[in-house]
Amino acid sequence: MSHLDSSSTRESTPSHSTTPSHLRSSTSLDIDQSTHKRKKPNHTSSTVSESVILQLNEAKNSSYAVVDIVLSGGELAHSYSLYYRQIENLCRFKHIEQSQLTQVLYDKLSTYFNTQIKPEIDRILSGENDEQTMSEFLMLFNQYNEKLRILARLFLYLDKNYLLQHSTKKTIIEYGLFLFVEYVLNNETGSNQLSRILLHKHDKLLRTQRVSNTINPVTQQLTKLLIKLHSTRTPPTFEFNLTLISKIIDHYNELKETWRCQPNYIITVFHHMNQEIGYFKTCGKDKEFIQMLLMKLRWNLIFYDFNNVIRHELPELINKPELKLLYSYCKITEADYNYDSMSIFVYEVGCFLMDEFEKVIQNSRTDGKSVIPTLVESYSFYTESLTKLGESDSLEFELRNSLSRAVNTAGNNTYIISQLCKNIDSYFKKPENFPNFEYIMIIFKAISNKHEFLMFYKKDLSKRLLLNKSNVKDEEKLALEFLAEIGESDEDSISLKVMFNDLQLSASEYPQLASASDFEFVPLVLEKKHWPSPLYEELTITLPNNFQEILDTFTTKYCELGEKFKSRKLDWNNYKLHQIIIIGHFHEDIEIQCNLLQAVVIILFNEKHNYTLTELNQRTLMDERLLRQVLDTLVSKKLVIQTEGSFKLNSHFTSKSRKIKLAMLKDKPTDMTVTMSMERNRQEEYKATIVKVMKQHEKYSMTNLLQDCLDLLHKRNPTASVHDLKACIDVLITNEYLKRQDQDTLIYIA
Amino acid sequence: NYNLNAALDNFYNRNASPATTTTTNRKPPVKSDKRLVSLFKKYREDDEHIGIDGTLAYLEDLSITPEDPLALTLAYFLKSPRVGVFNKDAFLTIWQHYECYTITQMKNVILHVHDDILDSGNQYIDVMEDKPLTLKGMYEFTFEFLKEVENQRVLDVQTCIDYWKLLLPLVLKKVGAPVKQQVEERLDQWYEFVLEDHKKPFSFDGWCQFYLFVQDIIIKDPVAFKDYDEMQSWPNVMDEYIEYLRENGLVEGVN
Repeated sequence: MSHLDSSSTRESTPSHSTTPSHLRSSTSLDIDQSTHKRKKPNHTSSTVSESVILQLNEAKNSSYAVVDIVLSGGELAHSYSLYYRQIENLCRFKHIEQSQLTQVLYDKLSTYFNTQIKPEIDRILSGENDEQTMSEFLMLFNQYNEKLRILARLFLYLDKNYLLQHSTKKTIIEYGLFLFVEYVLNNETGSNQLSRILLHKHDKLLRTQRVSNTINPVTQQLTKLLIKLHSTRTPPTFEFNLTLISKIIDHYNELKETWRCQPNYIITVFHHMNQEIGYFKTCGKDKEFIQMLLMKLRWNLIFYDFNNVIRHELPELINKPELKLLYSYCKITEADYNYDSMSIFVYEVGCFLMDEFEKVIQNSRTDGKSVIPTLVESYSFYTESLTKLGESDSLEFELRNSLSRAVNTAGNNTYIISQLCKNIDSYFKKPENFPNFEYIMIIFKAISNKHEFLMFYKKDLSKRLLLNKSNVKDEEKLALEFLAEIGESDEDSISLKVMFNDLQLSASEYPQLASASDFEFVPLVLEKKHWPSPLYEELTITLPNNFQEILDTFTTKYCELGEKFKSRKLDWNNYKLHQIIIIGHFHEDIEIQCNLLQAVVIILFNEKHNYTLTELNQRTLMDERLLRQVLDTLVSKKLVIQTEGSFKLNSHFTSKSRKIKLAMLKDKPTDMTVTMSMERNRQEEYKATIVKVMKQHEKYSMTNLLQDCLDLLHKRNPTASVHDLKACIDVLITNEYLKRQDQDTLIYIA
Repeated sequence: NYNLNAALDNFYNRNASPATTTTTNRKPPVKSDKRLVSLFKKYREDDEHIGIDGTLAYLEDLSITPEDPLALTLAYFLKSPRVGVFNKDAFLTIWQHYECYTITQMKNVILHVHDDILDSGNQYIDVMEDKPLTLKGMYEFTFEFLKEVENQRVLDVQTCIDYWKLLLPLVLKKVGAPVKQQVEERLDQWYEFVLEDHKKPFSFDGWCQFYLFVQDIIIKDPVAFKDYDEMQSWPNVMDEYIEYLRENGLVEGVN
């Protein structure tokens, strides 16, 4: 009830108290003040009348009494304005009255605090239940604070005109709070039992709040109160904040252990950090505190064990917006903690990506999906994810590097190379399925042993070119892209250029040299050195006269072209690649597309319908295995019928489209797989390198030899390992090219 | 079982011009004691060699079984060119040098030689080349000794293992109890590895290096191979062995 009363009276007080001052200022402030000033010395100089003393005592008593009334929560006997005026009068009467009044006020407050509030605080803080205790505590404080406010209002004059002016005196509220803070919070880090209990309870409430993830009003009020009380201390010791922060961090360190076992650690951390910071902001903590807290939280929750955190979290984070935030945090760790998290971030991203690419490669190996497009897809996906983080050369580099590492591991390298070749092959055979060859270039750039890839590529390329399986212009475009990557002066570049040049010259210059009368002849003159060697086979066969003539005539004319052509030798031996279209006269004419070897056999049937294998063998001079192969392609198309021991032309042969294309002859069965031939090439290369180094040094330590060889080889062959080199060294020692002089020294045996 | 070709070869070799026979320009040939000559004659296969039958008889007289490491010591001591063969020249010169003319004396010296080699006493020397007889020397000799044809460059795995099993216990004689057991375990793993996994024959270099590998790497730290480094000059097979151990979880933390 007393509460209600005082508040209702409080509402009326401002108008009462301010009216006079308003009046004064609005009418004649100067005069009024001057009269006051003149009056005062009059009062003091003259002896004070008895009635005045009586009045004075009454005012004194009343003013002193009102303190007790307020503190005890009783009802005021008079209105605020009356008290106010009484106090004003009292204060204005004599200066000493002000200090006396202050002393009385202070004494009463302090007695009140000591006798009433202290035991209450002690009682409340010894309670078990944190939340209940704290809400009682808050209530106690509020009541106390309310009383201070009422006093402050009643003694506003004293506050304003005396206490505020006095540098050593505290205002009423200040003094009241001072008593409170002194008792509850003084020396909070040391011996003060109460402050320890209070702060501990506060910490416990904060903990519950963090775990339950909802804001408890009691906790929030308590935090606010603590912040307020703390700020009354001059200067506010930062230790208070430090203790708070360290307690917060302690709790998070506990929490993180459980979070670490759950997915989305970083996301959880960000969420909680956000809440924590938001909470203290609303509670009114200053910027300094907030920044410090944030910095400590980041350190403890993220960067303290960054290597593990990032390794574990990247797979979850890679395409989430939180990654960007994390990345931006990484940027400032150098300044905040003198800790270079960025390079760890970049490194781990690299490892993660490499793993991812490795997975893609392994998966496509098992499920048989085409690896190149899938790999490029995943590469583009990560390119996009990483670009979202903002421009970073190191990340870009790491991305390319991780693809390169995945592509160049000993296990994957040959697989990728052969797959890329296959892909290029299908690209040119069905270009409509592929919009561009950018994806080829992505993988090509990632391959370190480009020369090895080019070896296989050229083989495929020449096949496609010579068998007209692809568009030369497009092929050249891709080849030029490769050229741009490896440099013009590279051995492979030169031969690629020669290859296309040969084709172009053959198309533009040589047709006029061809002089076949009943025969369209398109010669291709290719420089043997630059075209992949497996195309050539030493085949000896007898060609039909007219064929042979055409070739001979062309050869003669070619040599007559000029001085430099004279010394050139034309070798027509690659018969499998000569493509011929002949017309077969059956019931209707049928166009037969075949190679020269097949044509030679078919034409023989012009003379006779039936041949034995031996006869054919004698006529063509073809190797028997090859001849059988050729015949197989004819038999399979039912162009030739095989009866016991003899071959007969199928004179009833028909074909709906009037066109048939005979199957190509298979490559030599000795043709090695990509892996095998690459393996052999590499071993030769390793041995050559070892011998080169040893020749130079004659006597050299094994360790240095290995190092030198690795350095020399690494550019071309990133997969070269100590293991491979040692195996080659072992062979060289066994075969007595090298000798071991002692444990670590090798000698080159000339 | 007469081998006419061999006999003819020997005949011509014996009667070849003095220029080709006196390949030994070291010391003037010492006159051999006739007891030694008659011992040689007892075991000889032809005029220059003791053959396999003679060797077996000789070993029996010395009461050494062919599986005994002493038999290897004897071969090393007498510079036997290959299994079951002793050259007359070496037989006479070496025994003459140590003044052994009877089986008993010989047996006695061989036992001493064997112990000396194991103790690294360097008391006995290769008379013809004036080098001390050592365990390492004997180990390296074994490779040449086991070759079956002149230009053979490698020994098959099983032969290697058989002789390691004969030789390496000699190396381990001086090694103390707990380590010895650990080393033996490693050697068993090595045998299994070369037989089941590696499967390739051994060159002389590989053979010799393994001796060092046992000494420097395995005996030094049979548990963790602390001195092993891939960049060192060990032949590939040893790197693969370490790799094999690591892959099978038999060793930890080898770089």
